Amino acid sequence: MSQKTIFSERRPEVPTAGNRFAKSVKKDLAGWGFIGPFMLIYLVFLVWPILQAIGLGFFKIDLLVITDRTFIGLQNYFRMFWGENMEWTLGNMWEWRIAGLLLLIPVFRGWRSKTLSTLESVVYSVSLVVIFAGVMGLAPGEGGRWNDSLFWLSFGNTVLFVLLSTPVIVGMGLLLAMALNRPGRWTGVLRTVFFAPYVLSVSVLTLIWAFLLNPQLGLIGTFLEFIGLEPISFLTSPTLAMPAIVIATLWWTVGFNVVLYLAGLQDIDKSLYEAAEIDGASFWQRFRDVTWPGLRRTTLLVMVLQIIASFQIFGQVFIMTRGGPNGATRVSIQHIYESAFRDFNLGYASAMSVFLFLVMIVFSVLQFRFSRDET
Amino acid sequence: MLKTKKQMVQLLAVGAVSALILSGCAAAEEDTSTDSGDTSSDSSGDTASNEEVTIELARFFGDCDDTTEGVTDVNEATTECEVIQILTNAFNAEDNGYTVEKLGGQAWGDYYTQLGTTFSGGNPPDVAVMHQHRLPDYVGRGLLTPVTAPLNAIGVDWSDYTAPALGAATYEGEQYGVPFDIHGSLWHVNVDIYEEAGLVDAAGEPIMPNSPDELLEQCQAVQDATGKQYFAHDWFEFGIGARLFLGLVWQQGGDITEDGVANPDSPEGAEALSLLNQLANDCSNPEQGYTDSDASFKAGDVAVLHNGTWIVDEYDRVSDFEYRAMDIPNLYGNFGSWGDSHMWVMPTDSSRSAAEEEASLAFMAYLYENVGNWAIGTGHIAPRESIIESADYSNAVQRDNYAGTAAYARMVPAVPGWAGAWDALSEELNATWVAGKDQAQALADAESRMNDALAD
Amino acid sequence: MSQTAVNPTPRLLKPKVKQTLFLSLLSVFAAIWILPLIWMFSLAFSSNEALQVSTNSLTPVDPTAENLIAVIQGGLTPRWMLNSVIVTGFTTLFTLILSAMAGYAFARIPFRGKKIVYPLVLAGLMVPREAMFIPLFLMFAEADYHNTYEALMLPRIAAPLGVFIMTQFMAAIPMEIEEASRVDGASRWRTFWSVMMPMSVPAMTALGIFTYILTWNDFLWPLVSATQREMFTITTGLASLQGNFAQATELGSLMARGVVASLPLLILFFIFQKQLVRGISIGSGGK
Repeated sequence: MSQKTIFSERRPEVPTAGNRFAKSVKKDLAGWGFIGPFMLIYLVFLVWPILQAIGLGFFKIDLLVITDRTFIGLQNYFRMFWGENMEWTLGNMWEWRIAGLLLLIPVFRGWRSKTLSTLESVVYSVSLVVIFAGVMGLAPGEGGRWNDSLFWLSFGNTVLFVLLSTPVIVGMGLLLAMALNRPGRWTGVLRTVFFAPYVLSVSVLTLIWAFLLNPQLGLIGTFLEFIGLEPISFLTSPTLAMPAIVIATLWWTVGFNVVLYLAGLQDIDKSLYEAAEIDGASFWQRFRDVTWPGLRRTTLLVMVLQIIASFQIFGQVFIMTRGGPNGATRVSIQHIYESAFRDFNLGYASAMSVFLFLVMIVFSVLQFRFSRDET
Repeated sequence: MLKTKKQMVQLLAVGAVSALILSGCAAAEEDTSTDSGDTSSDSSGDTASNEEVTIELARFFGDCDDTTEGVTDVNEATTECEVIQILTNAFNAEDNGYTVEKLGGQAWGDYYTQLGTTFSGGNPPDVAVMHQHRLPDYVGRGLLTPVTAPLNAIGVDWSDYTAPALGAATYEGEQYGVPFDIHGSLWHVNVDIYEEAGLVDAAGEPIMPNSPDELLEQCQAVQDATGKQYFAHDWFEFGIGARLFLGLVWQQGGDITEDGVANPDSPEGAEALSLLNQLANDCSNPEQGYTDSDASFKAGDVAVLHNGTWIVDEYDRVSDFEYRAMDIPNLYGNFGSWGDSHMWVMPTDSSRSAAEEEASLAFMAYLYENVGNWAIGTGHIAPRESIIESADYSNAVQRDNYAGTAAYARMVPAVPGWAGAWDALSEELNATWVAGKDQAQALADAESRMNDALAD
Repeated sequence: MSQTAVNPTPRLLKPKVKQTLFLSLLSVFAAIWILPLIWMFSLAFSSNEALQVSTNSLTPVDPTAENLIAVIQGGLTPRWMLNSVIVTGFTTLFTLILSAMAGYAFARIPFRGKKIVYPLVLAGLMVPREAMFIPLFLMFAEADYHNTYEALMLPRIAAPLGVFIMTQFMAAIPMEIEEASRVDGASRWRTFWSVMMPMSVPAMTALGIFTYILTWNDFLWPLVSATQREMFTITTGLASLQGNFAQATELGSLMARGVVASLPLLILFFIFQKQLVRGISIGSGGK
């Protein structure tokens, strides 16, 4: 495929209005033709059920007797978000609110350096202030209570998990991919080793890790004793349970990111590396100037997928700790699942899912927005 | 490039052909095992039981067809799964024209998810197993068929059931299920350790404490004499701690609900929780879950294990120390011990034919007749007086030692929405001994969360 | 790197030493990484009774193959394995085709409506499965279409994940290559088939692997849709063998089931992972 000659043989085209129209219709036909099969199945088996699920959020509907449904408008949402005797205080959750307001700094800097338009900066700033200075000050006051205390608790745990797991699993994925990005039999074996946990189903994973982390019966406990420490009961510790689950999730899913990064690394033009080596660039310089920019698309892909996956974490937590101890690891999907399948409250579960869905959309939109600016 | 493309085309071709062949196979197989027993639809409307009728059975307990294929002698069973499977095989082998086809076989964690969706889809099984504590949710929604009269007509004697068992099956005066067993809390005792601590009587039988003080004294005695852990149970995995809490509240004459409203935050509750925390911190290891406490007991490191009736036979077989399964001790004067029941129910299904209903009832009656085999084969308590009094049962492993539980086991309150309330209670209680949550706060939170769950 | 010099300069040796050192460290790390899996295998080959007393050994306690044999002979394991292979195989095949086609369109064809449809597809990634699967379940129930291969495959074939991955990777392929083919007079389809797809082998391998594993390990949907024993997948089938409190009584069997369910996937990955890393010789020339 000799590119230069093909280019110079390009047929001249006379652009006319008719031509342009025909071309655009042709493009539309081609485009829709290619996405047609996918869209058909997607609309029927994904979009339609999702729309129904969204609709269910406005009903009180019983899982066991689905014909038993009453329209209740926004009551499910009211129940989720609100409580009795709500009042606004300056001090409520102030650490988180200060942290959130610190995000105004990058927004300001973005505006100053013209990466963000004025409109966008205003939108982001206003949103940040409304959420962190305003909304997060709300909490039940004296004698009051949340309608559903588990809702915000589980959402908070979910956000915590996302914040903890994303940098760790994405970063590790990149490091391992770079390390494993060379041909060879042995590297192939190593690749399989690091990816292997991903083939396990969640039930096997949790079985292995619940036993590993068990102070009495597990390898980690034995190891700690071996080096003279007391075995720790990770899964019954309110502070260590979540990190333990992050580690287990890392072990399980980093292979996914490794594979994506490996595929991404293939698309980086090798001649750029050669040029950099000739220039005498160090490893770090090569990474910064060739690898990292070349992985821009892949990183966006990996991060979006990782955040979405982390928001939807469920299986590991449910099986290993069932949300304990003392609700320290209860995540949103667990609450949704229990509402639907244990409490039979399908409408409420749907409403909560809609909320989680919207949160993920916001995160994803922001990610897409900020990655485009990195040209 | 060409190689990949060619390979892909070949793959597609093979795929398409295989798909056609295999979907044909699958379809053919499906036809011979459809649900709702289409093979039995008879246009004449004749309900004679000589017709070939197939009914669907949904149950947990696992799948053990590989060891029970063709086996119909229940004495060969060694596990819960084998008992029920062999019984089913025997029923199918009988010349009554009925065939029971097993659905699922899931472990009970997933069972109710699956069962729930079958109700959603309007296609529930013909006979299903159900815990007593789940019954109110289904009965309350009219999803189960009352079976009092129909079963009575084919030989089920409801009066033969023990009080706890009958109570479990009854809802507003009607019976909705056939109790298969009562299973409940037991104290599994390592008699050797008790002996070493001087806690056995003249006959060598372990002495059970009669008050909280005696309990803690025994704890001290065991630790002083043997250095071993006095007490163990699953402190956080399966809600076993909450069962003991419930038992202790009952023993004090209290309860955790009143007229459908939860009230664990009571003097009795506070006392029970306080005792449990003391037990956890001074006499036990609150970091142990089900598997570790079980392992510790089997290894002979624990004097008393609070667990259930389902592993009596196993402990008896496996322990290399002197073992007794005993009623949980009465520490406050009244007998109070958590219990539950496995029951066979018949979901309502308007598309079920008369012949299928007859077959389902016949199977349920058959299971009623075989509760003895179930109880003897598994360690669960038989729910029928006549069985309890029978020689086979009394001679079965350890049964005499927990005859009290058989008579006095108490079920959780039969209110809809109980599953959520129980989870909330469990979590709050666990928080006190695992995470050091303030006990008064835990009880208050438990009460409000339980009532939220029950109110739905 | 001339080997004829009698005294090769130290600088020439260093990269190779560094490389070997690096690989060794990586291998040590890999050895620690694989420990839990080794443990799983060890438990699978230990007897259930021995495991009730002690579980922290990396080598089998009271070695026995009975757990593994019981799994393979138990229930309908061969049939379940076949179900899984069929359902997963076809789902993966169709997902790859559909996603690649859609990915090409989203990455390279400027058609009207793209800006609306693409976000719509991506949004599908963010829907919690547990929430929308009841309407999906009811859809199939009303059509009386449960307990079929189609019911297990159809909801999974249109995978937003697939489209996302393929779009990102196809967009990364240099425009010149595609334009060259189009200018040659090739239709879109031919360009797609002969140029874009082969260039996307690493991405398709990745997607194929993911789809295969995710479909194979899918539990909730087969649990409620394939309720008849013959239609279980290997995942739900093996779960159905489990009795109550199985971890305490039959840990060896549980691990053996895990081994049986995951080994085919591991082998598959080992075979295909070569496609993820193109050899150096192809890399620079093909671009």
